[in-house]
Amino acid sequence: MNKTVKIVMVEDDDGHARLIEKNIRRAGVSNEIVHLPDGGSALNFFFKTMGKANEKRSSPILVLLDLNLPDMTGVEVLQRLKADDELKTAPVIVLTTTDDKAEIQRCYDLGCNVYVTKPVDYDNFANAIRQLGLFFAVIQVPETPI
Amino acid sequence: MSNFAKDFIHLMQSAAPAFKNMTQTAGFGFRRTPLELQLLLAALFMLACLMAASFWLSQRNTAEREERLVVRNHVERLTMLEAYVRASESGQRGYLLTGDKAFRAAYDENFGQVRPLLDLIGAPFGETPEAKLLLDVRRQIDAKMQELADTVRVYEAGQREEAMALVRSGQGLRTMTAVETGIRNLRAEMQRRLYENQRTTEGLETALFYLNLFGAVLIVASASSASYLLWRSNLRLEAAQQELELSNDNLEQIVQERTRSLQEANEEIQRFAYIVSHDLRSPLVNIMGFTTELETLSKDLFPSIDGDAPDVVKPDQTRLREDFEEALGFIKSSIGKMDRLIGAILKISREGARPIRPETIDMDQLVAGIAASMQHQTQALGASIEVGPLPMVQSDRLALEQIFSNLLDNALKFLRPDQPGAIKVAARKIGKRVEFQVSDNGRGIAPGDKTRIFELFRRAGAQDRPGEGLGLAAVLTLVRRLGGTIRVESDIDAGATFYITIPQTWSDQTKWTM
Repeated sequence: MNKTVKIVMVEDDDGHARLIEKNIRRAGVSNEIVHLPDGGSALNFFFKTMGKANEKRSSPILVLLDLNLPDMTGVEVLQRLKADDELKTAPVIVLTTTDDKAEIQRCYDLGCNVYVTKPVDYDNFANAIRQLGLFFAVIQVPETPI
Repeated sequence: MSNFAKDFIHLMQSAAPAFKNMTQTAGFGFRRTPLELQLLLAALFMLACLMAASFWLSQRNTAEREERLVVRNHVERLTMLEAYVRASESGQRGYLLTGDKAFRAAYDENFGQVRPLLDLIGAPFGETPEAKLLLDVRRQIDAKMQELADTVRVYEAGQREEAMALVRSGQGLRTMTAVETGIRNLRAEMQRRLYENQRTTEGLETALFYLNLFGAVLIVASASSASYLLWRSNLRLEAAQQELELSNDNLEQIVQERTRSLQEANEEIQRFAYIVSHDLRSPLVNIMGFTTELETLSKDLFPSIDGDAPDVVKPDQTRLREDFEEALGFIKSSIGKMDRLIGAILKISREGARPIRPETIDMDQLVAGIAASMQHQTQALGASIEVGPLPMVQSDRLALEQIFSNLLDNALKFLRPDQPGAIKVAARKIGKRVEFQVSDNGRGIAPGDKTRIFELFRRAGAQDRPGEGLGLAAVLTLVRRLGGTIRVESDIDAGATFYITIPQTWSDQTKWTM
């Protein structure tokens, strides 16, 4: 996988974040993971830290997004991302406990690439994350957004 | 007439308490009727009296008129009688003077008329002044007739001079004058009587006139008071109706408000259940995840028996490892159970929130389809499912499928092993609703458990079948969603019959009638 791709994980639950990271590492993915605990800091990271256009281009990102955030819904973050000309090409993987069909449909409609339900069954969960790792390995993150 | 009046008054008195009772029990709107009723009865009573009086007066008037007619007849007859007596005398005088037979014939003819006519007059007088006068007249006429007959007899015996002497004696003139006087007196009496009669009649007619006038006034008065009462009660009725309409509107508004608040409360519960179940899952993911991580760690903490030489593994380490694994096993199975319970709450809260999509459903087809999908299970148990003729309904297909599938599944699950299972689905129409009966001959439900079985996570009877206690709770939720009710009739070992009543045509209004 492209070493320069940064994985941005927006997840309020530290435990979930840790488990996700563990399993990504187990899958053999060694990319940098940036953990952001809420919607505000996520938006801050996307539009302030990465604010300069050249940085947006030079460091492509992959977003792991939880829908249940304390300050706003993940859907809002997703909307903001997809509304940005530079960031809309970044792949977004929604990871949440909701298996509500309407919610899933809404995320896909807004442009999320993959929707993963966090199952209580840990083996399934670990499996899903590891497969994401494989997914990361084959995914082509655009170097320069159009 | 007085008897009639007494009876009438008696009737009214005995009827009054009954009317009072009637009006009291009738309650609102009839509270003031006694007055109206009393007025009506009084008017009726007075009218009856007036009619009786009028009838009596008319009768009396007729009687007076008839009497007058009779008296007039007698007056006429008296005149004729006088004429006959005079004509008889004239005939007698002529005969005595001339000896002409023609005078004798005239005398005979008139003489013959006198007595029958006198008899005719005699009849109708009782102990009246006329009767005495008539007796007098009769006597005078008898004397006169005697005198006439005597002179004629003497004359015809050839003693003409003697007969003339008799005439000349003036006895004939005297008797004639007496007859005339008697008749005049009698006629005068009769005239007096006629006059009195006339006066009475006039009095009666005046009385009748005033009576009728009074009756007319009474009729007008009662008619106008009836109109007034009618108008007043109409006004009152109108006011009551307006009040009723107003309170109806209020009631409708209250019902709408209640329905809205109920809807809001229900939606809140749904949201609450959804949020709770959803947010409970999140920590569960952590618990499960790190427990599994711990399990992985335990393999490093306690080296496997297979991996090392038996002498290297310490006995207390083996025990520790077993304890560790036991604890982890309990934690994991508990997490699994909790996850299933949360899933159940989530499922039911979603069912409750799902919008109802009514469509025309052939229930025969729907239930037969469910039975067919259970055929494998049914055959294995040696049971049968009979689907009776079921009606068409306008309702939600998914909900009905879930309801009947859960009920049939339960029926199959709790059959008795000692007899072949017989499950029946039937239906009947009750007005605008349809009652479905799902009955089996299974192990039944104890009377004390009849409401418990519909509660979430509760189960009844021997716990020897798999299940979470969700099926009937879901059925209850769905039946209520369809605006229906469910109840069960059953006893231990006596089978069970579930009665589901739903509106044949689902509409928004029926949603909250539970």
